Amino acid sequence: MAPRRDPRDGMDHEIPIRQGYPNLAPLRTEWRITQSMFDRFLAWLNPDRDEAGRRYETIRCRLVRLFASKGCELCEDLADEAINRVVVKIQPIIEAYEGDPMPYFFAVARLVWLEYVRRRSRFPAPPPPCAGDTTGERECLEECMARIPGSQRDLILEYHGAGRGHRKQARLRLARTLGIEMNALRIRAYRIRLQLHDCILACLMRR
Amino acid sequence: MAHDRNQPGDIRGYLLGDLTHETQEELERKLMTDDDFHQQILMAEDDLVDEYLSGQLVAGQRQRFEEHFLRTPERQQKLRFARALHEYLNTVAQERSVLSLEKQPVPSTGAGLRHSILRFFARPARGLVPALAAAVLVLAVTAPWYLLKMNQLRGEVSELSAELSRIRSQAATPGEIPSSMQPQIRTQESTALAGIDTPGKPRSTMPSAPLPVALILHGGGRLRSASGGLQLLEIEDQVSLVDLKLDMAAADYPSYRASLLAEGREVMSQAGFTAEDTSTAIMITWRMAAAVFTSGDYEVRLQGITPDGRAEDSGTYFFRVRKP
Repeated sequence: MAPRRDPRDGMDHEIPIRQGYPNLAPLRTEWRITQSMFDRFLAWLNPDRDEAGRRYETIRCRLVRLFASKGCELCEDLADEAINRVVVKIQPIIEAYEGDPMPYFFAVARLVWLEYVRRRSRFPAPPPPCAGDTTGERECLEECMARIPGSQRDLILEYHGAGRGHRKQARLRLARTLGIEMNALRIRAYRIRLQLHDCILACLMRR
Repeated sequence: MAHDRNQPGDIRGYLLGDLTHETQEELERKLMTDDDFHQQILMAEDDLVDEYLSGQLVAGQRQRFEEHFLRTPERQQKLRFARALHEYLNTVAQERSVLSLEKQPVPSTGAGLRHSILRFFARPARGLVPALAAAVLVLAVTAPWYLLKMNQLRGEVSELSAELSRIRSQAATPGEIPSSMQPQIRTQESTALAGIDTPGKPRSTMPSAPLPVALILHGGGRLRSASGGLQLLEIEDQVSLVDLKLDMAAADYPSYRASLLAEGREVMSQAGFTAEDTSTAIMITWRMAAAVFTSGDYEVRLQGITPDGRAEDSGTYFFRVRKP
């Protein structure tokens, strides 16, 4: 995986273009991104640098998801490619474009995708995905489950615990018990699950 | 917009790559600009992974899931996490079913109490160690208070006894105790007795600190008739406190009221219990003075108190007490 750029890095140096997957090679342009370009880019996202950093992460996350939903195994690389294309053209963009940057990124992402699809056929398809052994995840999950508050642990166990045929009824009961709507329960369960997922990733990194 | 009319199906189709180019692009645009929709997509991904793992996707969807959805490393990681979560949930479910199988009657032998306690502590349960640590901490904090309270109650019993003697001596016969005062006297005696040993009975081995003994009671008359035996509570001389641990299938009520009965008559009762979920079991602990008991058969009736204050039967527990 290519190294990620820290948008809050204040040093004035040329930011190296990462070396992507071979499949992306014909698509990748030798962008020369300077710190001043990147600073202008962040300022365009938001005048506050910290807020701009968060905005950058949001945009990247959504671009990754957008390419992932197209069934692209190189979604992260394509997301970075789309961002790089905006960064190198930031000055003319600032002068000519008005409004929310998101639609602009969407338009660039479409072009990146079309170019990628045109050239993808020349390269072999990636191997089929394999879930593999989950022992590490399992061990980390137990560790993470022990760390979260009891009420959250109970909620996630109740939310996911009922058997296939009883799941809907069990969740309705749980929502009633907690005095919340089903959608609020779903969001609550999702956030706990996300928290567990992040905890597991951190745990796996430590090992 | 089109996806507003048929959102759940569209999101699923979007994730599986089954949408028309036009609808796909419409959803992508929304994904980039709508925070809520972005979160909906993330949650739908989790749901889809769960359905895949629990075999709820039809053949065509499974194929699309494996060939399209799972192409990215991030989603493969999601699948690994979900698989670990499912395994964990299965293990928890198995542990819980083992616990319910363990809710069998304990033979009425002298080893019954020891067996119950040993089985409770021998469970290979997650969270037991923190629960024990918390229990020790609670005991350490409450023991001095309890001793203080005992002394105070003992003083009150002495005063009541003196008052009772005075009233009896004033009356022509014992039956002339004013009837309006009798319930009051009984209630105060009962309250005091719940805290300390029987007044007037010499206690040769008063311990310096209360030594509780625990009995885990599993639900109901059903068990009693199945085995013909009762769980046995042996109370040695040096024991001053008894913890009745009422094992429950679920904590369905915000609070509970428990009554202790002997030969069908209420000995004492207490309200305001809440169920403790220890991750290995759901229990109510009722602590009382060992002096409350004499050798014989007892029954605990548990009632759940609904939020609007109604009492509903929640369980019945039978046990036998043996004292030297």
